[in-house]
Amino acid sequence: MVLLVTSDNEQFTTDRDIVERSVLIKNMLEDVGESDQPIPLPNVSSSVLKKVLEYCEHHRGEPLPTADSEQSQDETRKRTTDISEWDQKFITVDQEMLFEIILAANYLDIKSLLDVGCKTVANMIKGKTPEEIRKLFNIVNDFTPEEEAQIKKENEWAEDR
Amino acid sequence: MRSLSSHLVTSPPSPSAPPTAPAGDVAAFFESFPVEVTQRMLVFCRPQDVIAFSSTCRLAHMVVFDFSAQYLWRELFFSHPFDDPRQPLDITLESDASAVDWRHKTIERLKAERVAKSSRAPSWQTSRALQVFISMIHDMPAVIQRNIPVRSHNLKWLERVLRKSDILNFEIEAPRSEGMPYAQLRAYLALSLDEGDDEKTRLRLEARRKRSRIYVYNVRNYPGSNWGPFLPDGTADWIHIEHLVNVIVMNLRELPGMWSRIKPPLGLAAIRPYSVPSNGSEQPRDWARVEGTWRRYVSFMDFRDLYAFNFDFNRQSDSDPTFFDCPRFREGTRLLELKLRLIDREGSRFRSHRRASAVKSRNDRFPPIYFTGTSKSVKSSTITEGVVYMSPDGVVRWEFCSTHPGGAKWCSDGAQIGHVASAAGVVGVWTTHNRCSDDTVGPFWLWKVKDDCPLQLMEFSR
Amino acid sequence: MSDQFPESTAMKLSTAKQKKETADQAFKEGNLKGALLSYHEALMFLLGLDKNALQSIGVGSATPVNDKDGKDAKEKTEVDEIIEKIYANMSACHMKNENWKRAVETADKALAKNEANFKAMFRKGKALGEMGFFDKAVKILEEVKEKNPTDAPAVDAELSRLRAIDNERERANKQKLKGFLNRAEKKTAAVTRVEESETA
Repeated sequence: MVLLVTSDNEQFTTDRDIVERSVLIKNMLEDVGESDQPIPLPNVSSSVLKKVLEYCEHHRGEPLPTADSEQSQDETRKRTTDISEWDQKFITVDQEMLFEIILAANYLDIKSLLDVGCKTVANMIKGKTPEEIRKLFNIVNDFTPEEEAQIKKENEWAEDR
Repeated sequence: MRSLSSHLVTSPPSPSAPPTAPAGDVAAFFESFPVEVTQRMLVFCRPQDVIAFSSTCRLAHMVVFDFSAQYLWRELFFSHPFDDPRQPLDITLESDASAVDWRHKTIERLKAERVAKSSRAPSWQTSRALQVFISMIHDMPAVIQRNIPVRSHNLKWLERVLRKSDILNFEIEAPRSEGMPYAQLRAYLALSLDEGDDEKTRLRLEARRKRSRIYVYNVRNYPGSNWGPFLPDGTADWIHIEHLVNVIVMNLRELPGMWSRIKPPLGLAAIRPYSVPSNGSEQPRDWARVEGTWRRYVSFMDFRDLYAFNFDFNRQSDSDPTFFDCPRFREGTRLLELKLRLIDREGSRFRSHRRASAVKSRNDRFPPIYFTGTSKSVKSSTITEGVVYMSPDGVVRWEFCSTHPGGAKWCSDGAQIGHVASAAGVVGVWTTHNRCSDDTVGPFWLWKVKDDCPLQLMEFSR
Repeated sequence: MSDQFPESTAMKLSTAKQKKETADQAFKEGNLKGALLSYHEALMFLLGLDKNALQSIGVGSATPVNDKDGKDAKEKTEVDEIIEKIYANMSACHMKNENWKRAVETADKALAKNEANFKAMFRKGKALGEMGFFDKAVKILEEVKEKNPTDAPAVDAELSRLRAIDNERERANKQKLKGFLNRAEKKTAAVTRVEESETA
């Protein structure tokens, strides 16, 4: 069993093969072995870690992506933004939680979860105009009118017709 | 400047927090994403969406256009997908493989696609787009690599974009330099995308055929010793080549019966590197895949017609298309078979060939190849000798001569259509040895077949 | 370990520094496992702190900075430096443990933060050599020598050691190959004789 402590000081006990989907934790456990000492995760809150562990538990036993698979011989690959049904349901959360999960996946180095989160955001952006994207993510337009006109002109070719 | 607080990783979204966070908070979340996470997210977007995202605010713009964004654009490029432009076969040798500007490459292609869709893009945009399409054709990978068949993503993309586009249908009256990319691309495609039999297409193709005949059979287009479809600096004259292509392809479409099926493979798939049929016995030094069995169509005008077309004093200009509308006009087409094998330079009549020797030092990987062989027609069999070498602009150039038993000699000069060892083969000009200004000329098409392909010879006159 | 996790960036940074010091001390005392544990714990505090979109692409300096931003920017570079040192030291621990794979991985992480960390580069080269990636190892070690001539004697010593290992390996392989070729020759000869007798 592995003990984890979150930023809000909550303790989690979980199986090693679940938590080892996090490459960060996997490396640590492989280097120093299991101990009674909890592993501090000061950059993840308990509500987020709960979600992350739910994901890891569902996917336990699946092979971890290796470094080699990222740089295969044929670099060309059609990227899919498809998300499996379970993952889709899992990632249906409010935007704040979605971003927290993405950041936690990045911090804990869980590639497959990071990709689920990134694909979800990508699907939200798809086909939207800059103004629609601003509204979606509460982005404040900080371009000057001149800059904006310039950018609009440069990017004319990319507008969907 | 908004707050840079790193509260996003530390703030506990406790259950007691209000269900809807204040607007500012959500924005802050997005902004404090590490760049690599934002880029990873964008990797799953289409380039158009990435551009739209970049237009939302300064930070987003920087994440997409900053120098660190090459990772993002490289991923977008390959996931589009496009062929890897860093081919080992790169014959122009000018591109530094390590310094590919992925963003530039991706965006210029999408811009070109846009131009192809539009009906009135300014000419500078069109000519840029054509250059992009041509460079994409040059990026197509060899058909087989390490014994594995390789698909070309560029091919699929180009066929989709060009088939829907009118961009190649305009007959432009432009300076040669502007017309060159049009001609090069049309020569590569060899009318393979113009197969519609509607009236509009038919009229367009008839008009093009006439223009091409006027060019090809005008003896003034074959000055002095430089009568081949190449410019004096040794680079390919695509305008000339395209006209040769058009004349032959249109003639082949009119051949009766089974002959209409005997034709070179045409289209983008046939111009990929090493798409030529293999007999499994190629010598390593035969980089152009010269050795083997070839088919060759030659087209020709009756000499009296050729003379009348070129030197009829009643006609004010030599570009009167009505000449070819005359019912008495005759153009013949002949199918020959060549069997070629390599010989050493020392044993070749072409050993002191000036142009071939000149390029030898320039490109060590593609040294001149000397060959000999036989050429069979319905009427006769002749000895053929020649040389294949790489032109300065990376076009495989073929020059050869046939000597008839009676002593008459014919010479040919042609350009490989597409890449090295393309299945489409070689298109060029044939004429007399030591050509005089009013000697007969005509177009030819030479393409390789399997060694066990049955002998097929014929002669047809319309 | 304190009962309460510090919340602010500054607190995390100072906890991480303490953990790193504990680890450095353990390493000196030869307690490799203890060192690795504390280094890992330090990383748990540091990773996630170094990531800030605005700063890591250099916007922070391009815009007027208030006090808070200025402080954050400084912390950020400091965080990066500590992470680099931790990974370089972890690589040293793995070298001592002869865990070559992890030594290379951690050296790579240090190099990602600072490609001119010659200690990490040297460890990577040596570990790759130990793993049998002789060509890669030589390339990296030569690079260390070229960019940091003061390391030349150590690099040369390592290079000659690796070459000796490699030569020995090659000699053994040749021996094996020779045996194989001898067998293959005999086999071919046998086949040829059969063919000759068939065509005859």
